[in-house]
Amino acid sequence: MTNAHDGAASRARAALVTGGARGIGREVAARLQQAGWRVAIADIALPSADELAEDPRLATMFAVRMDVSDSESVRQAVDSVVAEFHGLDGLVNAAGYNRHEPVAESQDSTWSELFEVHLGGTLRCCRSAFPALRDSQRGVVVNFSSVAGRRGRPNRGPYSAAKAGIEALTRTTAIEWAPHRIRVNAVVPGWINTRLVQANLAAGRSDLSSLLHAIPMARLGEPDEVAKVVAFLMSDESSYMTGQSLVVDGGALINGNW
Amino acid sequence: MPAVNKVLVLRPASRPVPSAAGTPPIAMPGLRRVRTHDVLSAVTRPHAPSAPLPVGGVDELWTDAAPPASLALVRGAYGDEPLVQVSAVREAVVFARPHPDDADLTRRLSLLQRQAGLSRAAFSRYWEQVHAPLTHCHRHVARYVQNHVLDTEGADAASAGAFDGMAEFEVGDVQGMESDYLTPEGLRMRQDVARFAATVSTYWVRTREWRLPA
Repeated sequence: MTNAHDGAASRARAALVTGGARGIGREVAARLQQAGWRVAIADIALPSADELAEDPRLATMFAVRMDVSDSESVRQAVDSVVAEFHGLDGLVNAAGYNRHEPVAESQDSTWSELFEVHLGGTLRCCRSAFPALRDSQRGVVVNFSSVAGRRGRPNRGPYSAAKAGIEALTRTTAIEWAPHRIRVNAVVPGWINTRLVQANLAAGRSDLSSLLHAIPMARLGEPDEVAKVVAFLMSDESSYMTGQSLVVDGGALINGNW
Repeated sequence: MPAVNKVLVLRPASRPVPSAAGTPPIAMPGLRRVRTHDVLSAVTRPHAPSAPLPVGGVDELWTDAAPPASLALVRGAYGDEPLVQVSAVREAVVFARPHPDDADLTRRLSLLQRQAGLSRAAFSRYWEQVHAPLTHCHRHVARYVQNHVLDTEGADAASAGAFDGMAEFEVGDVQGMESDYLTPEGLRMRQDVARFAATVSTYWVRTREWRLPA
C-alpha cells in the first residue's frame, strides 16, 4: 500500500524560504540547499541580474515573487512552488522589514503594514502551505521572531509587538499541527550584521558601541550563524522539538549587565 | 555603490548582427550594462490585439543616472537615430527557474498599452499585483520579468500611443509554453489580460548583452 508519505519520502525534501532574496533569508536558503534541500525563495523584490551576478547561489534556486501581506499573492506563489517541486516539506518565514517610530507618534499605516508583513505574513504562508506540509508527513516550519519581541527598545512598537505575536502563533500552530506530523518552531535572532542593521547604524537609529556593550560576545552575529540554527530546526536533528523558540543573540537576552 | 537605473529604448528597425562580438552599440557616461533585442518575428495572440506601431528592436540600458537625467543622456547617446520611445522603467522579476545554460533560452517580449480609463499607476498596480500571480501557469518559462514604465522622454510619447510596460519571457521549451496556455490556469491568465491591457505586441527576439565596468 502506498500513501502520500511514500511519495514525499522518495524525493528530495523541498523548502520555501520567504524573504529569501536578501539578508538572513538568503543565507538560510543557501544553507538549506547545501544540506540537500531543493529550495525556492520568495520575496517581494526578486534578485536583479546584478544581484545574481554578485551571488550566483541565487541562480540555482526557484524564485517567485510574493507579497506576504496579500493572501492571493501568497496562495499563488505557494501553489507554484508546490507544483514546481511536486510537494513541499519545509517553510521558513523570514520575510520582514522594520520602520522606526515612537509610540506616541506612530502612524496607523506603520502599525498595520508591519503587522500585515510579519504576523499576518507568517499566518498566510503557514495557512497556504499547510495542505502540502500535511501531505509531506514530515513537514517543518521555522518562523522568525526577534529579540525585539522580548526586550524593550524605543521606536520599535509595532515591530516588537508583531515579533512577540509570532512566537505565540508558533506555539499555537505547533499544537494544532503536531497530529499532522508538522513541527513548528521559531528562531529569535539578536543583532545580526545585515544590510538593514548596517543602515540603522549608519543612520544613527542604533549605536554600535552600546549594542556591543549589551552583547556578552561583544560582536554582531553573522547571517550564516542564524541560518545554521534554522537548518538545525528544519532537520531531523531537531525531530522531537516543536513550539520552541531558539535565541541566537550572542547572549544579549540573558545579559545581566544593566 | 550607486543605484542602477534602467531605461528601455524602442527602435523602429532591427540592427544587423555584428561580425564579431565587440563593444556595445551605445556609449554614454555611467552606462553599466546593455542588452539589445532585435525582432525576429511578431507573434499573433488571439486574446489581445497588437499595437499598430512597428517595433524592430528594444534596448535595455542600465545606468548610474536616475530619471529624468538618464532619459536625456540616453536620447543623446542615440544621436539622430529615430526612436519609438525612451522610458525609464522599474524592473520586477515575477519568477525565475534555475537553467543550466542561458544560451539555450529563447526570448520573447510583449509590449503593453494600458486600457483606456486606467491611469498608468492603476495599470501598473493591476499588472503586478493581480495579473503577475496568474503567470505561474507558465511552467516552461525560465524567467518572467515585468518592466513598469515610470517616465517617458518627450511629452508626445507620454500622452498618446506610448507603451506602459514590457514583459520579458526567457523560454526553455517553446512548445511547452504554448501548451501551458491551454491549461485552465493558462486560459484564466489570458482572459485576465483584457482587464488591464488594450494592446499586447509580442515578438520573438535575438538578444545580445554587454556588461561594462563601473
